Amino acid sequence: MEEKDLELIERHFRNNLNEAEQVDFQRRLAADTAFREAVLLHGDALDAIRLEGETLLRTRLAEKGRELDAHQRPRSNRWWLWALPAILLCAVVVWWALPALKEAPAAPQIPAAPASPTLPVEPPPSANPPVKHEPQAPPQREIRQEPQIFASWFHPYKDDTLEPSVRGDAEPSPSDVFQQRYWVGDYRSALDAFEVMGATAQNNDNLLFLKANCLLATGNAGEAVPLLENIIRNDRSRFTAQAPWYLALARLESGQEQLARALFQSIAANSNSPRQADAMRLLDSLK
Amino acid sequence: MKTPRLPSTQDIIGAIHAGKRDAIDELYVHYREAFFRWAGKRFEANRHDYEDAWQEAVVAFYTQAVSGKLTTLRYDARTWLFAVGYKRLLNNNRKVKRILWKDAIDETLQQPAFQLEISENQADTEKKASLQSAMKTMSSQCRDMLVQRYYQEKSIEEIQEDFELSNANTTSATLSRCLKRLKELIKTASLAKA
Repeated sequence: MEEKDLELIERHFRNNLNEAEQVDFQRRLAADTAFREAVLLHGDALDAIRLEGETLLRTRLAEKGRELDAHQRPRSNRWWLWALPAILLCAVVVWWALPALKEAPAAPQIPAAPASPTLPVEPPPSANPPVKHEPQAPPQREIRQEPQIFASWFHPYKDDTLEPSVRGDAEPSPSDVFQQRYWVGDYRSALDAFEVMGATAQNNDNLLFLKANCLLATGNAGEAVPLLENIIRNDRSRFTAQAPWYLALARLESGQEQLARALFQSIAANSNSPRQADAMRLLDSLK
Repeated sequence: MKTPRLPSTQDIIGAIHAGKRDAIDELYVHYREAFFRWAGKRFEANRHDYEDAWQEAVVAFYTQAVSGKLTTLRYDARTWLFAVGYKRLLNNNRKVKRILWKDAIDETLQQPAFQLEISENQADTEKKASLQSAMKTMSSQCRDMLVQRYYQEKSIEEIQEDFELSNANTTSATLSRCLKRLKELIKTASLAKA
């Protein structure tokens, strides 16, 4: 093949032929076997070079990805470093605050007040008991534990995939708004956003799972129960495996202690549950 | 932490054409985590799968932009990249496709014009292996020069400077020799197979 033919072929692959050259090129391609083979071979060579170039680029990008991941890992660890003590602190505050709140309204009627329905009934005092001036803290086991356990164990579900993705200048859809508010922990406002979503989105079990979490976070555990039951029954949400844990917490918080306990026991016995270990520890604290 | 604003798609394509290596790196970094999160809502795959798909999308964008096939985009770069990455994940994860989180990317994917835009001539696996093997047989200098000239579309002068060659004629002659050698290797391999 002559040098000028090779140059012509190269220009053809660069789309640099004028109209007359293109006509001539097509004519030779149809009539000249050697020319056609040279064109095919040049195409193969360019494919080989492209494959090599793509491999090199991918290697470089992979290296960059590793660097990014290495930088990001400590960041996520730091998140846990502040989140865990904060959760523990909240749990301690709730633990100490609840007995005091429960005691306060009952104080003026200590001798005559009936026992709280959840407390064991004490036998009536036998004879003219003196009014006790020293406040006596009730034994720990007599306090209703469920709210404390719920407060200690309930954390609205989050994982990386829930973080709203970056969008261009486009207006976020109502479901985007709902997820964004959920992600930032504005659960009350997220519930408002849920109400303006379309019917399809409102029936999406993934979004309903998040709504159930919003309800739990805003003190509406009773409303969360049927939502979570449906999600488990439908089994079409990617959160189905998480749902029993939240349902058990919702039942616990809404006063269905026996049902909650049974569900926690079933989670603790299920080695496939992502919450097995949590359920075991929670059951220990319920004893 | 917010990542800095990315240049417009047109500027990115322009920068790739101008041989600015940072442009494609910046694009890769800018949307990477967003793609992982977005893909995570659709596929039960691991981070490694998302990374592969994302690299493939970015490489396809570069290949099309640098070769001049992608001069303007009907869609923004994010939509284009996510749709290509999605397609890749779809091919590898057919059984776990999720359509519950439908958005603009899914709509873009349905459009025939987009399908045409991202289609490319893919050599079959066997031929691809044979071409890669021929390329590996070349000297590293020849390989790098050919990649710079025919993949990265660098000018003779830029290559001359990169490889510290004496002048443009020497550079052209070296490139011709390398290309000729590559063609010989490919021809020999195909004859041996026949």
